[in-house]
Amino acid sequence: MPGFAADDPVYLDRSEHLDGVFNALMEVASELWVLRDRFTVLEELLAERGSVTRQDLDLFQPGPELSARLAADRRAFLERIMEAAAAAGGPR
Amino acid sequence: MTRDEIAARVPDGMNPDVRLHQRGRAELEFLAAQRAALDPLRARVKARIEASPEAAAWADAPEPRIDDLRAAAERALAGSADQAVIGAALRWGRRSLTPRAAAAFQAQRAELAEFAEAPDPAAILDRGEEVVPRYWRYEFHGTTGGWDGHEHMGFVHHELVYRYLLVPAYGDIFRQRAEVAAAAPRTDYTAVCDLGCGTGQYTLKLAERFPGARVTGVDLSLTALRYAQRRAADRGLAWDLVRAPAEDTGLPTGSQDLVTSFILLHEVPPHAIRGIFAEAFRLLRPGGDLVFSDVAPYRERAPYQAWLDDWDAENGNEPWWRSTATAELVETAKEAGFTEVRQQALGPGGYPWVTFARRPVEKEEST
Repeated sequence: MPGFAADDPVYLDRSEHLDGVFNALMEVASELWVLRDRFTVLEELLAERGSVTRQDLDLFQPGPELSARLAADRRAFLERIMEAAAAAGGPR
Repeated sequence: MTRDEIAARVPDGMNPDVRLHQRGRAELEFLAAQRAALDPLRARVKARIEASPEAAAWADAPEPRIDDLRAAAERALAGSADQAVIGAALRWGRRSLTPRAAAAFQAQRAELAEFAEAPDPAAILDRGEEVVPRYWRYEFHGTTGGWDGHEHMGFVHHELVYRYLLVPAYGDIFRQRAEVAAAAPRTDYTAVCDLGCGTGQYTLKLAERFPGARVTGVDLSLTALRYAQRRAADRGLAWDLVRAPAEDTGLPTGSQDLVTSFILLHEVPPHAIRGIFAEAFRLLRPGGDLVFSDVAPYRERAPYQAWLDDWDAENGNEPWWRSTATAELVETAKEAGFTEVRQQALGPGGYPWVTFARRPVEKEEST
């Protein structure tokens, strides 16, 4: 098309940009995790007390059983991400 | 959970009253899990390197060179993205760690500052900026802003970074400090000096091991020294704390009968290591002991472990690890005047690796 405009630009064209995308993925995953954790705490407190305040959520310290469940969920979630990232390397 | 239940789950030497709110806790737990989730990738990397005849042959070479092992491992890992993903993930984690821990502190500053304040910061002897060496300016470990980058960095590191990240990753690292303190040749020291004392993790083990001794801690981080002072005070202890480089403490000659350090040497360049041995010799009375515990020499490691140490050092902001892990510390100790120099591994894989030496008792001048 005439005039001054790039129709198919590529911006992330250096290998360092891939690291940047990976970093951004970690930020998103982390935030998703914080929300999953908060949701789990919310479910736990609702089951226990029937109603909760924001302060209840902030101050709650998971006991051994819930801590273990959260840790297993976190681990599984992150292993899926790492394996997805590592799968691009060709045949092992 | 009750306070007792929390105390039972908090690592030895940490404050169970420090409780993060949900966001801070979940963000730091994520960082620990992000690191742990690399285990399957690490297992594949390990299998590849261990299957490499070239890497296996490295250990049997008359003078194994770490560069040769790195090259062999690189060939063994060709075609796999595992180590690249590990590198990117660890770098992100390292870069995120201090800012996240500092943000968690900031979010609860009103309640946490009470646990972090030093009782008497003016009592810390500060030798000033003019004695601060160049190597201190480098952000080793990638600690954002440096070791004094936050007013309460000592607290932030000890109570948050150690609790949420380093203890889950490495296990009971405080026990190692107690074992090194217990390995010192005598139990009747009256003046003990901990070089590179940080927040007093090892200093506390020394104070427990040698309850009758006057304890001096030396470090370059003021915020770490302030929190060391607090941790001592919380236990009814008082230490002499000095902000100075370990190679130039300014402490009186012949004032100590044990000079010791735990994982200090690999943070400083070779000339500073020589300086630290010389300073230890100066500080010790005749007959006094040196006990320096540090990273395992590569020659004590299996090929995969040596490769991993070196890779981690290069990629984990540890500029002086390689030179320390390949240094001849026995020679350095002898050159400084020490006798009875020996080295011993206190744990598996050559770690903790401890150098022991004694300042000889001066002989009577013969007439």
